[in-house]
Parts: sequence; structure tokens; C-alpha cells
Amino acid sequence: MGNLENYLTLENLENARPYIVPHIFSQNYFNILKAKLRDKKLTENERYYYNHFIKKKLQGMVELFNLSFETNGKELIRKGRLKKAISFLKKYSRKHKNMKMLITGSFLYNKRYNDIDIFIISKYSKEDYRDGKIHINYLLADVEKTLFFKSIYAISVANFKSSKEIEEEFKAEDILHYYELAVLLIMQKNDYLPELRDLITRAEYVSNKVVLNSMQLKTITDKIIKSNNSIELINRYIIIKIINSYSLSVLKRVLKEFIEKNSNPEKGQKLFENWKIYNQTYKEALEVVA
Amino acid sequence: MLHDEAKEAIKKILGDHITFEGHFDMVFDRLKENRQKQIMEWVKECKEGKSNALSSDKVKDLLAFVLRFRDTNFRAILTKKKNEYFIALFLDKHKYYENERRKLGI
Repeated sequence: MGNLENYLTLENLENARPYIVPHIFSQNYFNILKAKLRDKKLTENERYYYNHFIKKKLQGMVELFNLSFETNGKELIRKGRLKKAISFLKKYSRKHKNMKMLITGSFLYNKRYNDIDIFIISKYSKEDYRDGKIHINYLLADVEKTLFFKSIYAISVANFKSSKEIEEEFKAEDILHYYELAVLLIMQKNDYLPELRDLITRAEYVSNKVVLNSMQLKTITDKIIKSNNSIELINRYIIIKIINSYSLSVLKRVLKEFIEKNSNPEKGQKLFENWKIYNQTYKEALEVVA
Repeated sequence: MLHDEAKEAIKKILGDHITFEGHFDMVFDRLKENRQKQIMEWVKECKEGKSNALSSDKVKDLLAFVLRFRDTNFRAILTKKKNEYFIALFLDKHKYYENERRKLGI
């Protein structure tokens, strides 16, 4: 069982006030619960009421309505995996008491999977660790406001409900940095899947305001990785995405700046091969927007 | 190879003013021997102009070489002032490397 407050949001609590006060909680208890959700420091009396009365009522409601786990993208989760996921969450919830926790990734929707990813939201930075096939990843508290979190949460089983809005903004420069890095890693024959995921998630979000779930993301990244010409595919993909994402003036400025920064080799050296590729892509994008 | 020995070898290749950033010592000591060799080879290639680099849009004339290991989440970034000297070798986990990348503008 996760932390009971994890199932509640301030907005839900406020909306439910007419049904809660005074039937379930007195106005005083309601205010204490609200203060707790706002992370306000409670007085000794308030703490006593919270732990001995309010929390116990909440616990009863969670059990009564079987709200212990939040399942997102249920229709995409394979038969049998939901039960397994819940049993993993129960096991690790005992180990990591009162922590927000979710299980996500290909374990939920793919027949074959390598790891089982469990993410734990912690106030403090901690070292990730492995427990057999289970990979425990720690995330910091503000992660719920990120595109990355929304993407992994879209198909997940969690011991909490997240309704926070994305507060990240992605400039054209950010997208091009991810693009340049992915192409560089491909040319170096390095593993580039995490960087490709970062690129695709952001590019889809800025162009269509779409938050890809991990299954959709895998479909796109698989196509690129399995292609005989991944670089060419990424080049075409990035042109289509950025021309739909930013104003003409912003695009022109950023593309010109990036062409400029990639145009001057070191003295006595040739232009890096990757810079030629980037500049070709940026020039094509400029032609399209022009 | 231990990190002190590696740092000395890297200084011989890139020059004495190179600094080591991120959790260099800890990460280097945790790498398998073949991965340690991979770093040393890569450093040589960067010095000899055989590796491709990224150029920063935030820091003027900054070049950054990136190394990504296949079976770990460790990353290395070697920075250089264009036409001049190597600045720093950063070695750390993915999450710290993301912050470093943003800071460098690559």
C-alpha cells in the first residue's frame, strides 16, 4: 500500500468538499487534510488528528473501493502482467514505505522483455539499483511535471495518481541538440537508443502536442534503429517535425545559427563529417520553410 | 588501471591543463578493463582529430567529443577550445551527463 495522500490531489479534494464535509470529515479535519496535501507543517494537535482519525478514514476508503493501484493504458497491458505488476509493486512498497512508485515499460505490453522497470519518486537523489530482472530507478519529486514522466506514466501501474501538468518547454535549439547527438552516436556506432527516445519524445510533443506512450515510442525507435539508413530517416523526420513546431522567424534564426556554428572547421582540418550532415538537413529545412 | 594512473596517461596525451569532471574517479574505477582501454583509445583519437565533435551554440568556439558505452549508462564528454587546447574530461552517469550537455550547449 502506498502513501494514502498519493491518491489525492488538492483539486479532487476541493471538488469533493460538498460530499465530504460534514459527512465524512468535519471542516477542521478537511482543512488539516488540505494543509497536509499542500505540504504545510502541521501543529502537534493537527498531526495527532491526521494520524489517528483522518488517515485511518482514508485508508478505509482506499480499501473499500479497491483503489490501491492506478492502471494507465490498461487496454495495452498484456494478460497476466497486470497481476504480476501489482505483486511487484506490493513487494517493493513494503521495502520503500510511503513512496510513490510505478512500474512501466515493455514488461507490461511486450511478450518478450529484458528488464522490469520500477520508478520510485524520492525527495532525495539516490543510486539506482538492480534486483535480478528488476531495475529500480529513482526519480526526483519534480519529475511529475516532465514530458519524460508523462510518457512512462501513460502505460503504467502505479500506487499513486498523477495529474500534474507538463511544465517543460522545448526550444528549437533543444531539439536540434538531441538530433545532433543522436546522429553523432550513430556515426560512432555507439548505442543511441536513450538519446533517440529523448529526441522522438520531444519532437512529437513540440510538433503535435502529443505525449507518446512507451509502446508508441518503441514502435518509432525500432523503425529507425532497424533501418539500413537510420541517419537518413532521422534527417527526414527532424525536418518534418521542426518545420511544424516553431514560427518562421524562430526557425530561420535558429537554423542559420546552427549552420554557422557547424561551418568553421579547426585550422588545417576538414569539416567534421557529422557537421556536413547537420548542415545539409538544416539547409533543406530552411528551403522547406522558405 | 586505477583512476590516478589513467589521469596521468590522459594528461600526457592532452596536456597538463586538462581537468577531470563528474564523478570521474569513481566511475573510472568501476569500468571494466576493456572499457577503460576504450576511453584511452578514444582520447587519443580525439587528440589526433579522428573523432567527430559537436559544436556548442552557447559557448563560443567550444567543441565536445562524446563517448557512449554500449553496456553501461556511463557517458564521457571531452571538451576543447577550437584551435587551441583540451579543457576537461567529464565522466559520469546518464542523468548527470544530461545536465552537463545542457550546460555546454551541445
